[in-house]
Amino acid sequence: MMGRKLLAVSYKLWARKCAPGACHFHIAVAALIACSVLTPRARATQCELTLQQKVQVLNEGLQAFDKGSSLRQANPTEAARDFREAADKFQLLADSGLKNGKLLYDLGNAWLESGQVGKAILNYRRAQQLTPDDGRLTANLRYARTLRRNQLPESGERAFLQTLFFWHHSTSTRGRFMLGVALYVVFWLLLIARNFMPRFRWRYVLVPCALGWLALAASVAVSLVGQSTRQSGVVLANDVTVRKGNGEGFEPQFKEHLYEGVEFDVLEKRTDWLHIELPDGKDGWIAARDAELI
Amino acid sequence: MQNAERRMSKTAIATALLMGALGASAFARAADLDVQVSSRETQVGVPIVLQVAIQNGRDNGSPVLPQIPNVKVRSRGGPSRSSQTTIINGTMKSSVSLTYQYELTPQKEGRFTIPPITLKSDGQTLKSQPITVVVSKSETGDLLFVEIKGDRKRLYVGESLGVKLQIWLRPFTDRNYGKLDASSMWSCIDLRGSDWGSFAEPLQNILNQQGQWRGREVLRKDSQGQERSYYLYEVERTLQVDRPGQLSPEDINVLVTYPTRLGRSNDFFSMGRLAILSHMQISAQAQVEPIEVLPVPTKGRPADYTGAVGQYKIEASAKPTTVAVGDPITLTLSISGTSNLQQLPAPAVNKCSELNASFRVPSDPLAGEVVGEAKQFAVSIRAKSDSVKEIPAIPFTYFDPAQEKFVTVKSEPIPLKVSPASKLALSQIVDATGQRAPVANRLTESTGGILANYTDMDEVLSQQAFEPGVVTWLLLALPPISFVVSWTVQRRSERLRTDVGFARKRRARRDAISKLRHAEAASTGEAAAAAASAIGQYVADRCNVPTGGMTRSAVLEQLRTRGASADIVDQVDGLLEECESIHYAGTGTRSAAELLSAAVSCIDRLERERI
Repeated sequence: MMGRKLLAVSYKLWARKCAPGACHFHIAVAALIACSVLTPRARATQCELTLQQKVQVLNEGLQAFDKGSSLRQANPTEAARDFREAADKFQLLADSGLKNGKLLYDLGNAWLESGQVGKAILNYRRAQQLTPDDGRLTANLRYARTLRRNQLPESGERAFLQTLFFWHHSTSTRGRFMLGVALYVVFWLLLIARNFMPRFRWRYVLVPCALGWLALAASVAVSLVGQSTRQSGVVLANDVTVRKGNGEGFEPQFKEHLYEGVEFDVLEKRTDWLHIELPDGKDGWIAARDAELI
Repeated sequence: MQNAERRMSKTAIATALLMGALGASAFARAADLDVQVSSRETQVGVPIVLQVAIQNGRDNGSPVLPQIPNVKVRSRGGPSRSSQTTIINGTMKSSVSLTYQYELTPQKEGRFTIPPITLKSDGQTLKSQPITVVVSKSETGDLLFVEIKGDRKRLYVGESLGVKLQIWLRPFTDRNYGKLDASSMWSCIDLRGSDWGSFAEPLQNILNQQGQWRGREVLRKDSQGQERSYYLYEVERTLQVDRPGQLSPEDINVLVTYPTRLGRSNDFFSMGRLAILSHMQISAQAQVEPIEVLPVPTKGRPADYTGAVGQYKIEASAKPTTVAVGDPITLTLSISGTSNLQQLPAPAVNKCSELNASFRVPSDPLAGEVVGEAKQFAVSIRAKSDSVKEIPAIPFTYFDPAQEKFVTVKSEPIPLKVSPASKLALSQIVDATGQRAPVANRLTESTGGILANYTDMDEVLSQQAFEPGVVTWLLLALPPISFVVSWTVQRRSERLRTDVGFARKRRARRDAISKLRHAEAASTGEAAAAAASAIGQYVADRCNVPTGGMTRSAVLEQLRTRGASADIVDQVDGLLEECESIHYAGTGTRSAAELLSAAVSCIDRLERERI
């Protein structure tokens, strides 16, 4: 309602006969206000921190991490405590509504150093959604995966798709969107230019441009839809029994247990149970309390 | 009558003046020290009150109370202050006093002397006289017993012992009013006046939770061996034994205000309830039953025994398990067991020969942390060679008091993958002559460890969530809209250029109106000719026919053929006829302006027609 009123004000200003400069200024201001009203706000968070508080909390977390690093050899117990404190600080920032891949990377580091491989991989994966092209993140995630007790092979189909669509998996949604918008704008500008210069062989630039932005738009759409529909998760507990059904009464699906750090895709959710698909393509049910979704 | 009133008023004034004159001198008196006791005779465990009063003192310090052997001294808080003013025979006396009170509780039968108490006041030292008090044995008899019992008669140093403080109190029975219940007898226990030792805290917890100390009626033999009824009140705690020998009794002294007579209270607010009309004070010190604390035997004590007593088990875990030689491995030892884990000593990993043979183990003592039901110790070890295949079982030795022998438990071995460390070749080491070592052309990355954090504030605290809003989608609609607009404009201009009929049609009205405007200053005849010409030109442009042949009949024919409405045809016909009349015959009723206006009106009407 407020947005419509602002737009109505903008229109009235446009319709009123005034000096051109003043007209444009009023319209710009009204449009900016409309933008701020119409743009979806960030989701409500448990705690909202001011910028100063965020800086302070981040500094405290980094100091605790550095302290833990220096004590790692001399006093591992104290070091683990410092890493946990660092993780708590970074988690506080993440809980304040801040979505930042580098922050989640730091959080993953803190959990890994404090011995919690599962939580480390969980946060690395969350960071990957925001900054998939981060070299440090890729390296640390690869290392964290080597520390898992379950080293399950990846299914061939999944590996093939990952290789084929490497550009989809190795770039951020925002990056693909920006590139797609750039190609999209160039495409339409070329079409407009074509009106004035019809003799030029525009199809040699228009077609690749169109294919480019359409592919990127589809990639962004898949990412956005995938985030809301297909979920992934990480096992956080040890000695997790994968069962044939959603209940303790069902027989175990595998002889071996799952340990923290195992990644999975969610096929179905039922109250306190998750139907998961493991990297090797096998599936089963685990209790929701033993894992966390990315 | 009037004279008497005058005399009385004069006397009052004189008295007031005198009081004022004397008032200033009333406070100029010397300080005085007064020491008194509530009783010169008491019993063991029953306190007396020592009162030290300082009158008219200024710049006082606190009284110095000397030590009294076998007597416990406890202050009753800060001094109380009082002041008094009296007028006797016209002389006013005023005094201010500070009073300190102390409880003196004798611990032994006999007598004790309260030494002189000194006090400095107004630059003088005041000193009291010594006071002797006689202490007789407590007349408690079989009315009260206080005992401390352990859950075992025998234990070893390092074990925990559950101890129970028991108070046995004989219920008072009145001939007329019967026996007091456990709750009433509990209220006779002087909680504040008794010494509870280490049982003070658990007792306070009971009072906080339950509001009172609940007792139960039991039978017990008195000193004559006769079974009698007692109320038993108990409080428990856990004691950590750290010294061998007999368990020493604590200084616990329980004071009870034991009733001697009951009756109905005359107090209005009590409303005739049963009350204790008279009582006596009894006390008893806690007696500890013999509990023997044995030292952990030295014979057969393993070298790696660090002092743990109880029953334990040990588990080990290590991270990472794939390392290169020399890389640190965090070995975490988790010990769970029966005894107090906070006091549990660390296992002696630096004395484990198997571990030390294959790993570099720091010699610093391990710091432990209680996590859940176990105590965890972490140590950083490094493999000495790539032939190491596992972390060996770590032993932990404890003394089991149940079996009365040393027991060693071991953790499970942990398999490792140790790869060789990169080594420097001798030729790479700079020799003594200072010749430069050859340069390494290739660096091989190691696989362990993580990369550094991101620390830049702007990088870490920026919002990276991708949430395109409505405005983004609206802005994305601009390029295609721009294209449509430009395409439309381009098509239009092209059509105007190539399609003559379309171009003539678009500018028909403009040209006709322009022609009419040029004729505004003309005469009526010229205006009529201009109007007819404009309408003919307009119709020719609209119909895309040559302008030259557009006579009146041709105009009407074009209009009728193109489907113009009959009334506009008639209007055009009427106007053209009039224009011909004026132009050729010079006859007409309308002026030039009217003719031009009519022509504009016709053109505007024709503009709206679809011809």
